[in-house]
Amino acid sequence: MRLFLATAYYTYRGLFVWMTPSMYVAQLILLPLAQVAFFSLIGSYGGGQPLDFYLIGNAMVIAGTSGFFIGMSINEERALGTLTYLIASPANRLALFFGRTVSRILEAILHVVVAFAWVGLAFGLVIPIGHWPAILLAVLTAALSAAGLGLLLGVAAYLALDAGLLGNLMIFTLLLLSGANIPLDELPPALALLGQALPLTHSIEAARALAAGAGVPAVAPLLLRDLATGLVYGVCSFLLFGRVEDFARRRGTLEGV
Amino acid sequence: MSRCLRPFLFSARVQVLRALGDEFLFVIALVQPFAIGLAAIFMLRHRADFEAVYAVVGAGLTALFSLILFGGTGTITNLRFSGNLEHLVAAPVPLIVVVGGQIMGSVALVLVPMLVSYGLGAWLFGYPIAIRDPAGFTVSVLLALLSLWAMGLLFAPLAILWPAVNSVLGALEYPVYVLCGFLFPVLLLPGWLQPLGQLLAPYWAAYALHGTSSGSLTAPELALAWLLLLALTAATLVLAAWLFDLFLARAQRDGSLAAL
Repeated sequence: MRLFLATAYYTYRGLFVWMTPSMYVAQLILLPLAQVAFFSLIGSYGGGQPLDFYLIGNAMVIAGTSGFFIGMSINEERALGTLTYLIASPANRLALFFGRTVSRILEAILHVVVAFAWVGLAFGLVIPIGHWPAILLAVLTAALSAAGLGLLLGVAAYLALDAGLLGNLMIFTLLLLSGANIPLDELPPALALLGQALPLTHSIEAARALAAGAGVPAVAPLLLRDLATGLVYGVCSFLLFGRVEDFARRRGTLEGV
Repeated sequence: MSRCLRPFLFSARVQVLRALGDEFLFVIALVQPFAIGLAAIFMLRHRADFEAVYAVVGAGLTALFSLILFGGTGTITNLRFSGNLEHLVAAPVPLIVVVGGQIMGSVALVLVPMLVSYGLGAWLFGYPIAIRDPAGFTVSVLLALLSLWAMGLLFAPLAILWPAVNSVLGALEYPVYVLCGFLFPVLLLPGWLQPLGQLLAPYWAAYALHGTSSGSLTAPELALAWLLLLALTAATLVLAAWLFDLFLARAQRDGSLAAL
């Protein structure tokens, strides 16, 4: 537990290696509004769906940032040369690996909450107070699910490509295929199937239902499905990391493959 | 002028070669216009008056501005990190010429996202991509590139002079997309926000490009857009030159040229 919490804390502190507090605040305030406004106004101009569809979808998809930053943080361990020390340590891998997701998940939730606040202030979409606990549950689910994919991307980046590239690919894939902007039934069948296998897809659907007045029992299957999706990605990443670690130990290539 | 042209072009060439191996620029130049263009086509095709060229142009503009924003703000910082800034300042060529060449190199890459966006609409979806006013569109593209190049030149010293400003610059990507009407008319924005976009060169670039591609602008309207693009470019360049002088004077006074 101590290792888990320490990893979570220092992952958050590590955020300010590349980002100043003022930049962080600027992005926290401006980015959710701008991103939601951009895609929602395109959707409104297109007229395919009501504005609320795009507002809720794009507010929820911001939870995907948790995955993006988790993927980046793993790759940074290798870039900064601290990965060998982590692997040489007797620390519990589970705590070490998953501990770094905590601060990113909380941060993603904060971003989504700010996005929803802007959606209410700027676009007049007011979600009744009574629905908020359920919406927050959907947001938490989305962030957890995205974190699982982020872990997998971090390990994949260690093997092959740059984490930033994969993270951006992930963000754009979620924008396109999670149902945030395009209903899945409008996508080609293959892409719709891929969308079903992505995190956030079912949480977004649940959030829309909750905002429309559905209760938690009605959306519970969707939330559980999204959690399961994230868990699958997370477990795959943990197993893959173990393989990579074993391979690197035998080949003496911990700093790269 | 001639003694600056060769270093300018050489700097642009080096930037293009460097950028070819830059994965981040690959995302902006290829992935972003593809993803945003694809989303825009799906979202806008319900309109009775939908033309794929609108999504293509808008997606290309988003990539162009992102290239300029991130390329411009990081230019001087990257020169510092690479240890080249002091040598460039000591060189007889003005620093603004070298940085201007670097940014122009990034701008040259914009042809890639434009072509990607075009291919997306024309090949993937089978939409006809017709430019109704090819001559006007070509001039508009050139003026748009020039104006955005000037913006990049402004971002470079701005980002390094005041860190607080740099924080906000980094978050400007989507706000500019929204204010300048890249993929929807600014009439959708609140009335008090609409004039804000008109102060920015990307707004008139989008106005001219969308107008010439759809053939919806009259000659006077197009001339006005070009005039405003030129005027904003000139004003931006004057401001950028002043900021470069300010940066150099401050750095040489403080001895912070090599400071990180």
